[in-house]
Amino acid sequence: MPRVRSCLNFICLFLGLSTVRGQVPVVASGQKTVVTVTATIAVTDETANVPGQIMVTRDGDLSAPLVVPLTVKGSAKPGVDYQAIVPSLTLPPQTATATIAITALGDFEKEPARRVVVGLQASHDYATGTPAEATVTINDVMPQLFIGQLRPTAEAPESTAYGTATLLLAPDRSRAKITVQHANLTSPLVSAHLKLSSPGAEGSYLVNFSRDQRATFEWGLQPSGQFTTAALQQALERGRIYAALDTKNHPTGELTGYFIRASGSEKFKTPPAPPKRPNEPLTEREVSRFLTQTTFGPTRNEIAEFLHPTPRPNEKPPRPQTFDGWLNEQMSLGASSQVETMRTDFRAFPPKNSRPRINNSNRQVAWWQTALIGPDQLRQRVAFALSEIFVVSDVNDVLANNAEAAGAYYDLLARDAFGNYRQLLEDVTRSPIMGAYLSHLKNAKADPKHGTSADENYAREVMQLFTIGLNELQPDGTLRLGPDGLPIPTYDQDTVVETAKVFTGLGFYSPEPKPNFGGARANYFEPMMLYPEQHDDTAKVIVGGVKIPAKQGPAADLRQMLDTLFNHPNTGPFICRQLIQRLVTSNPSPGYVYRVAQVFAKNGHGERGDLGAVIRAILLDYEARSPDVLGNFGYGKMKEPILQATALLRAFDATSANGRYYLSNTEGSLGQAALHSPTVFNFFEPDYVLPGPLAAAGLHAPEYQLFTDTTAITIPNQLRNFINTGAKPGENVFVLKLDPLIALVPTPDALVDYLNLVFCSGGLSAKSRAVVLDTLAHLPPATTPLERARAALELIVTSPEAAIQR
Amino acid sequence: MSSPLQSELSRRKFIGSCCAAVGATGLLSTLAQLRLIGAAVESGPAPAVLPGVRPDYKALVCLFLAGGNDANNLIIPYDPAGYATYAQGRGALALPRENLLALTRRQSDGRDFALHPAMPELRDLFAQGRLAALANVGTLVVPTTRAQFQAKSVPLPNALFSHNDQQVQWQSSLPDSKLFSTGWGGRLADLTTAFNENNTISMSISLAGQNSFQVGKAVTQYAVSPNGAVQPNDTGGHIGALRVKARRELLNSDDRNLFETAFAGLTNDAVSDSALLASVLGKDAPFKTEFPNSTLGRQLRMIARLAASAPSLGLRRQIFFARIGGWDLHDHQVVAGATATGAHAKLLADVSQSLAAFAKATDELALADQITTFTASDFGRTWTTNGDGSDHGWGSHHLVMGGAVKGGDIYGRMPDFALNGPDDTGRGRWIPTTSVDEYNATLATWFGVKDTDLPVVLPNIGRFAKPNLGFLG
Repeated sequence: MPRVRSCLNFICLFLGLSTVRGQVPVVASGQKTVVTVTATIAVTDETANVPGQIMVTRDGDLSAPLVVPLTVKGSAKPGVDYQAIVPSLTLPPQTATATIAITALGDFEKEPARRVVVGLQASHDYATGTPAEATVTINDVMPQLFIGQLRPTAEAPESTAYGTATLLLAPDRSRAKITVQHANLTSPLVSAHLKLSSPGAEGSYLVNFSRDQRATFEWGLQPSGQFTTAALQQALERGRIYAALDTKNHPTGELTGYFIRASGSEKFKTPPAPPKRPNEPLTEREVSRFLTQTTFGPTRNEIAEFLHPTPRPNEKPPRPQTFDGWLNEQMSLGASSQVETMRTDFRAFPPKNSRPRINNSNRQVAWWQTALIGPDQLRQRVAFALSEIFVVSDVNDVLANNAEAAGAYYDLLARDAFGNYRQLLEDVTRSPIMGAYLSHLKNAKADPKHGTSADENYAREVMQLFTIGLNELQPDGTLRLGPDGLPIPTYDQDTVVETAKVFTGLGFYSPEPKPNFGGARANYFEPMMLYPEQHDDTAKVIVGGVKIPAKQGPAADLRQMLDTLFNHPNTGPFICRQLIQRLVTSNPSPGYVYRVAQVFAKNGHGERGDLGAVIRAILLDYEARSPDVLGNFGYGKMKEPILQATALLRAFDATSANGRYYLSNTEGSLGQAALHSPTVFNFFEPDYVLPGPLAAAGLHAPEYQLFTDTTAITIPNQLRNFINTGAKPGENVFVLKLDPLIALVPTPDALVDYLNLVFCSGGLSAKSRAVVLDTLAHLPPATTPLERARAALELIVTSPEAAIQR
Repeated sequence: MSSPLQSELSRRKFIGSCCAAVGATGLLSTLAQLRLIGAAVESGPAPAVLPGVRPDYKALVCLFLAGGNDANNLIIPYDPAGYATYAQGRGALALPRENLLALTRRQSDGRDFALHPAMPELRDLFAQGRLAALANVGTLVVPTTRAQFQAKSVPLPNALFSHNDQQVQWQSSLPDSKLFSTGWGGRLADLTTAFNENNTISMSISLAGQNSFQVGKAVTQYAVSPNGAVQPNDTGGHIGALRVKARRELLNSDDRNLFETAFAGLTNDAVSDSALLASVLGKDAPFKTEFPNSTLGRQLRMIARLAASAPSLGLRRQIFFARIGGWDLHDHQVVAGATATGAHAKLLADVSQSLAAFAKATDELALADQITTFTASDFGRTWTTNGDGSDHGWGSHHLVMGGAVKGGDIYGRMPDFALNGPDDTGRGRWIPTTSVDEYNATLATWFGVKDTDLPVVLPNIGRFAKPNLGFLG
């Protein structure tokens, strides 16, 4: 597009110039020609997508060319605000009209609209008609913001450096203004550059920039190596350009970050309220969609029961359930206990070794059993979401060897799921399992004699992952920008060092009168105890410049620390966005985040941090409930593989011969298992960007981080294994009850409707539906009803429509 | 408008074109320089070579003994004095001297050693100079003495004696890093993938599912089952063809939600890649050697087939991962009264027979000199017994096999097998006398990594005396 436009412009210029040079006096024959000028495209803007256009028209004799000299005036500066034009135009023979393009030049400034006024100069060759002046208005457009969070590379695992790179792309995409700031590098910076590649690949160098701690420079997107300017623009929009900082210790890169399109603003504007939803009776599709968001997968019966509840004996037929009513019922249910389920399972199926102990198999059984048949579906679904924010993992040996305590940690999340976020933060921080995982358990204060300092692990993660995130946010979760157009970091390394001091002196709970910090017996169940003598009681300055005075003691320090994080304006939008991502959609609009974050700030009773109210707000929001959003091509999310599995197993009431809900090694087949994330950053990160069309549309796609060349095959294989297991199942093997499907085999339309409703919330495309029906119609006559049911089921369960939650 | 960005078909193929672009720009890091060398190798005229002979090919095979092998019973002191100390120290676990398989070393320090009786095949390979042993290797942050260990005056690996942590540290070679990021095999692949012509099928192949060893930044690990490429399992039965056709049609619908488009695209890529691998592997192995029908035997057999397929896949470097579990023998390690039998002996026999078959198959493929196989494990085990087994230890002996190995020798220093001796941290948990980094650096150097690039693969190597232990020529 830009290339075509500049060509047209060039042709105009060329014609203009050549005709001026070969000017021939034209003799008027009879009536004098009248010339007028009008703006045929009177408004353009700095994107220059549609240039302004001015047309000059003559009447009368067209036989000779006519040169029309022009005046160019107005508030817009040629060469600055728009591409300068030649003040003359030639109408070739037999041509009554000619146009001039007014191509705006994009810049980074915020300016009022400017005008280009083109007028006709008087001439002997023609009479000036009306209008003799035309105006094109150039509207201002703000540059597009791209942000790269700089993180240590795989080659620099010990680095605690961080930084932010921002890129403002001029509205016409012709140039970019880039700022890179960093801190805490391990060693001197030797080289800083922009590169281009896919994530995970070593890239091509594009441009070097200054090695200052804060570098600001303009980049003209000049062709580089094999890349044209258009290719570079495309690469930027597809999330493939990154900033890389190489240091002496890490010459192949210590910090890197891909530029991702971001939205942010300096001043906050309240997003408009969503449209009202009409109060119409619920449909099956809407109920299925709701239960997909709120449970581990809907069943046909649940959907039916929602709309047509079974009357109890001697009672009037009940009214259909409402979303609100369903949430009330679910929230009033107590939490299923993993620990209790683990113990029951252990007693029923004692391991055959000489020193049997509750282990991780029991914990996985408890998770699957609860997910599949637990009555408190909503609470457990939220607990699972929380387990992906407040990550602990049995990749860590303490969790692996204390499976029961890991189950207790999960129970903690379920217990607090509808409670107050402040309580959840307290419970997680004091959990010895979290303490073991993020190493603030037995974190001693600095010891100058031995040169040790407080462990910074929890201090960093509690801010970065559990509460406020790296950059200041607006109340709608978009970035708050400084006057320089750049994001504002929430904290720096000094804050981390100071915060680490707060989290000193936490040790195992001990009932002893004189508990020993280092020697207390391991107790991974009771909250960690505070040991004043091991706590750094000096004054500290924490996030936002909040001062913690000296000699407050560990309990007051911890309270002040967690209160500060809890009350930070980021915490609401930061956590609410992630909960929306886990339950509803990967890319909630700022308005959606805002509405939910407002509830986080204040529930109906003036309370901050009411998670029950937050969950309710998430699930009852326009953007979660209205069918209007379904057609948006970036709406929705990939279902986590483990949730694809629970949906299938729940839909057909899967059980095993011995009644045990046991699945081994789902991290192999599904890439996931509860509390088994490879790192504290979960199986996937909230801002993960999949290169390609999703990135080009500026969309985050967290769950795609675990969709690899391997899991893209093993996940559907696992689903098909569930479906095709039958006949002679082993003791621990799940078998689906497919009778309801088999009953529908004689009516293929009804069969597909059933599956479409349960697995795709009715979103199966007409084409996909036709493919399934066509396949069923072409199965050989000898195909049994069970085989037919299975074929339809496996096709729909592994289809894109079933994998994506909308 | 023909830029590589146009082809959204495959991210992996895009990676390949990036490497070539480096040459067009001026600034090159060490990594980029190595990639440039790789690119230069690619662009040069293909050398005329005999069919089947590929002098520019190399492969590493990591054989992970998951659970912690009791290497105190893998390589056993054999001279009378050494054996006496051994028999006394190991008590119920001690193997009878008469059953041991004596090793003849090319260089001897006067002490003699023998192999576990279950491993005659490996004794032969040792004698042929194709197998070397490495004494008392383990995770170390820095070289560590007993005094330093006791005073905690040097940093020690995180969570010593713990399975998961020590498995990860063996595979990452970063024992002082709290958060796992990459494995050393993954970093090695990132550095050396430039030697490959094609990245469609990853050079990092795991026969045992996901592992830490092969987690890289650029090169992702690719899982292959011992039976071959992991493929969609809907192709069988009398309606298989119809199911496959329908599955393809469902994935090829256009005009979709963007998340659905991405799902369909990635799935199609994955399916076509696995089909490619399956077709390259073909139906039959290109060798006659029979492998043991054990988990390990099947894994190694498939590795030999994958190595044979490397030219068709455009690969000049491959890194494989195989795993055999069951080594955490706190109980029933040996049969009381017949200590040369029992659970440990069974595992070692499997290793010996499977490795010997692998050596033979690589002979048939004329690849023996180009594939080096090495063992790794969580840790060694206690010298003293808990009655009928051993507990978690630290340093441990390991084996390296291949035509390039300067075999018939034991490299590194054997610990002083004395409780409370200079190498003991208690119960005969030996302080490693060679670091995992030195072991890995030797392998990486053979694989083609220059000395100056070693820190990219093994960031801590500068802390240790011997970046090359000399067991590979």
